[in-house]
Amino acid sequence: MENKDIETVIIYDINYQLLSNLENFRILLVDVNKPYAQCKGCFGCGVKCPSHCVFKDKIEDIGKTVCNSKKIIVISNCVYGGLSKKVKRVWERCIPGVLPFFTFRNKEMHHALRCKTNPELIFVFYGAKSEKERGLAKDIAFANATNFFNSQCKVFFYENAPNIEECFKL
Amino acid sequence: MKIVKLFASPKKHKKLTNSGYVTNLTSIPLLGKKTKSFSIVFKSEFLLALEECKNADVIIFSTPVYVDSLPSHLIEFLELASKEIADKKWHAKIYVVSTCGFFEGKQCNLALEQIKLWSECNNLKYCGGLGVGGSEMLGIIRFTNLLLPILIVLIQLIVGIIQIYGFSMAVSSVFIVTNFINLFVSVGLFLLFSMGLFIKSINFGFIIRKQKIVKNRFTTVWFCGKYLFIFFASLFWIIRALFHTVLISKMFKK
Repeated sequence: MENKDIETVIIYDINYQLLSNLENFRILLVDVNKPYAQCKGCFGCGVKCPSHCVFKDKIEDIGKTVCNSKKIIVISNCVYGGLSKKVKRVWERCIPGVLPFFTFRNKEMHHALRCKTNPELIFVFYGAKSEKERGLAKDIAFANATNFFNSQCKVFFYENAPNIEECFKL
Repeated sequence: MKIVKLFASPKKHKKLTNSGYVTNLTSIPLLGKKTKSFSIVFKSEFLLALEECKNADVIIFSTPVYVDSLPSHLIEFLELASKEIADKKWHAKIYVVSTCGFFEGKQCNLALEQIKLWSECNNLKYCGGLGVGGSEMLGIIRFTNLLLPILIVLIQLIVGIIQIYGFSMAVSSVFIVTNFINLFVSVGLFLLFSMGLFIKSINFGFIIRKQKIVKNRFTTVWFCGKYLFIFFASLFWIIRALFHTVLISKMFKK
């Protein structure tokens, strides 16, 4: 599937087997349990090979894909008010989706956007242990939405790991 | 007082990275104290660091902000540390030094809050954090405005000395004077831009020395407006791209 054909990107850390008709949609499913490289914060994706990650693995184009998509769903265990380590590892690799240059949004400095698609961003956290943790997770989710896509963000909390079909309908 | 510094920047030469630089500035008031430094980027480095943390009185986390929060490998380290703490209680006080590339140091707050939450979950005393904005610029001007002009003047002095005994004393004198002026201006700008960083980080170092509990505090590049900052940052990215033979038009590739 071409990058630009993908309408929805789902990044998840739950055990999942493709059971239903999700295959019929233009979806990119990113299972974070695979051994992806870790972002080094080098910004080579801005100056060396623009819009691509310098690490050549299966998600080297994920930044470009997410910024061209219409909907992004991130399903993650809530760890200290943020994403789990593996989801965060993939999420950091999405940085090629923005430009290295800066601009202002909500009176704060943020990266300028590479694409103007403003995808809808949905965070699904499970396993949060306290209200404080949920509050921090929400703040981080909204900050990500502003920083990455300048778009709307919805945040949902589940006690236990939800299934992907359920999240897809959110 | 036993201090353990944990560097979470994944870049090479930990102490030269932006977060490492700020952490080393905060360490100036800690001179004379027993301090150990560890990198906590790879799993293989975790166990050694955790072993030292067990008996530490103060732990200083030094971390960059990745996508508004803590980098993935630091989350991994914190999870492993939680398991260790469940086995054997730690008594260390937790301080954090965090850096981000955006102008506002306050954008480090979410990362600081994550470590605060981790500390609370593990019954450790979170004693405060320092968030530094514009860290890329503060890091770069160490080289462009301090080391490079000094190097140029030194080279000129050496060349000048050789020329005095050679043929062109007048020309070399003019060069030396010009470069001394350059040095003066460059170092002046370096000190002005970094003044907030120096004051706040050294102050934070004294807070750590006295083991005080403070609220999170923030700083950024001083005497440089946001728009001037954006101009410098853009120029920096364009020049860096040119080093990779990438033209500005290619940088906007969709």
